[in-house]
Amino acid sequence: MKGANLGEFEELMLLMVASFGTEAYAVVLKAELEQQADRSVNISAVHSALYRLEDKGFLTSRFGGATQKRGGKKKRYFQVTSAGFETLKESKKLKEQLWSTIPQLAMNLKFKI
Amino acid sequence: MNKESSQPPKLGIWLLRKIYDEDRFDDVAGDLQEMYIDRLQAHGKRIASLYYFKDVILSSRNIGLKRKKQVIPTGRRGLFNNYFKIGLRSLVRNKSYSFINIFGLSVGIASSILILLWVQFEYSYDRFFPRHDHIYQLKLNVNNNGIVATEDNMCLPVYMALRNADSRVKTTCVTTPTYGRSLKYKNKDVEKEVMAVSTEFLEMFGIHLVVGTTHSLDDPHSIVLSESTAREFFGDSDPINQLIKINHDWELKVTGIFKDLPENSTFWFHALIPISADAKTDQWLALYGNHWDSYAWGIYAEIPPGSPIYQINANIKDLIKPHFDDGYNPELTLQAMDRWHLYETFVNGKEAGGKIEYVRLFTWIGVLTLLIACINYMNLSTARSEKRAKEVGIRKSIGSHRSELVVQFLLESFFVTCIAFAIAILLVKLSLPAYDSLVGNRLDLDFGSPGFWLLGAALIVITGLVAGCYPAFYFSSFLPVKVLKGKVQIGKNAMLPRKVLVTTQYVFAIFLVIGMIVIYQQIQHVKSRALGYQQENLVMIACNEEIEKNYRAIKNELLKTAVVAGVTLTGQPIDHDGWNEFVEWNRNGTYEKAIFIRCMAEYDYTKTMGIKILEGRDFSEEITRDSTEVLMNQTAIRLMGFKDPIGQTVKIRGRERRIVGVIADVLMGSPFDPVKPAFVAMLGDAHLHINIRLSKTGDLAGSMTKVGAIFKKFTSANEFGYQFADERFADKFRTIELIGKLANLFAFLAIFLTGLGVFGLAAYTAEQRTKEMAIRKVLGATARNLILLLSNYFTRIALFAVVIAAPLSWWALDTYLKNYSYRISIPWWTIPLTSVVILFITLLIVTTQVMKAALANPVNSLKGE
Repeated sequence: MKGANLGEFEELMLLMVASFGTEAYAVVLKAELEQQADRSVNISAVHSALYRLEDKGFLTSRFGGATQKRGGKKKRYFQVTSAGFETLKESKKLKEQLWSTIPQLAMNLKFKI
Repeated sequence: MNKESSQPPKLGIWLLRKIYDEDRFDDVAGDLQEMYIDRLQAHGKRIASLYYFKDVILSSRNIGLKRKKQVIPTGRRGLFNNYFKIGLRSLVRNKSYSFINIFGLSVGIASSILILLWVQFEYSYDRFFPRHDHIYQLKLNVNNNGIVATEDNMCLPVYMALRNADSRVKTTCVTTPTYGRSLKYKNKDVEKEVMAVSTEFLEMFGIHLVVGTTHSLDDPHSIVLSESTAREFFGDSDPINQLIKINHDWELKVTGIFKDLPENSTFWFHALIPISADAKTDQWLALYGNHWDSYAWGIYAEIPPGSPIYQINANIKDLIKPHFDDGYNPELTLQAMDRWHLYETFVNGKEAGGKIEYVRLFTWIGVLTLLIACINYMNLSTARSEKRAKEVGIRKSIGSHRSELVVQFLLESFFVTCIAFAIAILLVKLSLPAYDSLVGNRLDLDFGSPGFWLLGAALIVITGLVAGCYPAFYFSSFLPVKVLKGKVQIGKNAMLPRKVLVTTQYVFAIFLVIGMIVIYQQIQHVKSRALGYQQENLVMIACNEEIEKNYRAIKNELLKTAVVAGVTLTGQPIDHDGWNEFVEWNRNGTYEKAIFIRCMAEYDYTKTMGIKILEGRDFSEEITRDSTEVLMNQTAIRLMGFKDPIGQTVKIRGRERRIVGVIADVLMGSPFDPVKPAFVAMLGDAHLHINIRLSKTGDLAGSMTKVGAIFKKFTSANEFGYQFADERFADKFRTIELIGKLANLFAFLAIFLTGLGVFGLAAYTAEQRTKEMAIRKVLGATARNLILLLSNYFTRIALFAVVIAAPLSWWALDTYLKNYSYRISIPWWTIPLTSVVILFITLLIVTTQVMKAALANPVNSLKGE
């Protein structure tokens, strides 16, 4: 397995997949990203992040929902694995920990300035 | 919705398929198509397609994901991948063996490439002429008392007669031989090789004209220069219509420039002039246009390919006969341009080889060297068979056919050969400068030509097959049950073929070494033979008219300087044997005649040349008044059988001549032939060479400057051409010295490669028998015993090879030496010496390898079990 650390975009994708439950696939994720985070990304970037997360074991996927519109091709629905949740939680914990140190730092900084 | 319009661009889909693997393509393509449809409905087809392409192109970032998920290929491709991987691993695992294998093959391939380059160069002679397959040179066979001499020089009337003799002769052309002539423009005066040709020449030979047309030589006062010569005279300015003075005599207008002749040309000239321009030739033309008795021209014929040359030969054969002296049976014959260079020797009026023999000889030596390298590969691969045996056993038991294993090991040898070939190319590139100076040509690899790659591929395939087929069939023959049990000593099966192969290597190596020694001996033998004259400090200067006119004055001035000990005029260089004359003499009342070499000279001939007078005297300025006096060499006197030669008379060209002196045998002509009978007569009016004996000052260059200064006083030429007698003599050894050098090179390579192979085998044997050595040592064997035991194998092979190679090489070299009448008999010590040297090298290599095993502490190798 690849290293367990997450990139910023990967973490974002992982969170979004988690928020979608079982119905997350690349196109809707991209649309959601544009709406919620106001970030315009290319679909290939979304694919890239999803597949990397899958290779790292944070996501699993299943096929389903072939429509006429997709030319009969199946969708790949992603779901967060328990390892994925662990990593998300850890990352959250780490960030909260770091946040808790901010006031001191800020004061120090002020003094210095 | 219309199905057609809802499909994204095909090219995009195709690209996408390249980017993603099978597993992910489907859903990605689905996603992209979904977005495409949305955009199609919102913005129309064009925009949607553009966005689709953008998505596809940006998707190329995910190409890296594909490889990670790559499945192990199965089927034939998977098998090949596996062969490759296993082959590479076994190469990497046994670094020293791989090195010996690959390096040995590289050296073998490199040397065969070098040989091929030379061979190809020799074959390429004259092929650059666009109509080389149309052109023939006329040769004349003259029967001199049963010995047929083949001459290139023709008489002029044949030039036209040839065209009329056979309608298939399209055209003919006549040339003078190439002479060094002085060309002068303003202050620049240089001697250049100039050939006078008839007007057909430019067209017939397809001379590559940069400026000018095939009619550039139609005007009798024109000259066509080579590019480099034109640059030398005119630099960057336009040479056309400039006037060049030739032989300080008359002026010619530059009317054309031709591309410099390449090195592989039989013709060699810097400039061409019309034959009619040459004032002298012009006179000759007038004089001899209908004269069938002056032979000085080269005549060439153009005949369309496909014409039956033997029929044409039959038609032209007797063209000269009616005009020739009786009894010589002169016959004309044609030689194709493609054969001029390689088949230059004629015996009895027929082509009898020439350089082609050396080309063939060295092709064989190249093949042998490559074979020695291939044998190394075979031996080392099969010697290591134990290491690969288990692999073969497993492959067979899980279903490999024998044929598949053969393919596997062949592919492995091709793989190794490819690596070796790449290294060989590097080696060739590195050694080319040295090799070029060795063979005296500029050779290079032509990476641009398809022929090179074709030849390279052929070399790889042949080497790979030869080196790989024996190991392939040997390995694939293992029985899986036996090898997997590990009880069978498979090495034993390979013993006999391996012995045969190593013996073969040794035989080649010994043969080449003996050849090298014998050729060296022969060269030394001939070089040190008695010349009959003193070669050192003898210099020869070709005359022109100015020098001839002022000869007496020049001679006097030269003799006044301290650096000159003697001066004489001759009609030919001292070592020239080209002029022959019948000499008749009276032996006990009957007239006998034979062909003698004719030398023309004047006073001080013997003194200047350093020739010993054995009886009588030299020409004398006090006594000699006419040309009735001759000197004879010893061989001539012996032939004629005169007891008291001085004062005897002989008849030359019907005139009586009196022998006044007997001189030592002077070696003229080929140094490999016996001295022929010769006479020296006083010069008529054709003065060609001034010979100068320099005093022994030890400063040749200084002496030559002084001599040059005197010549400059009397001539307008800036430079004058001179030649040292010893340099001329050395030129006669060029061919045999080239053979000697190449023999040295390849003998060295053969020993090196054989040694490399023995090194590998010895190292392997020592390694394999480590435990045996240890046990022997424990039981009381000394290191000396062990070394003897192991080296025994190789010593026996080497000795056996000597037994085979000795008679073989003796026979081959004796046959080769038969080409030379002045030759050594093969010294008795060559074969024992070579054997001892070869044995010594073998023992040295084996001992260094075995020493390690013999000196090792037996505990270390035995404690493992």
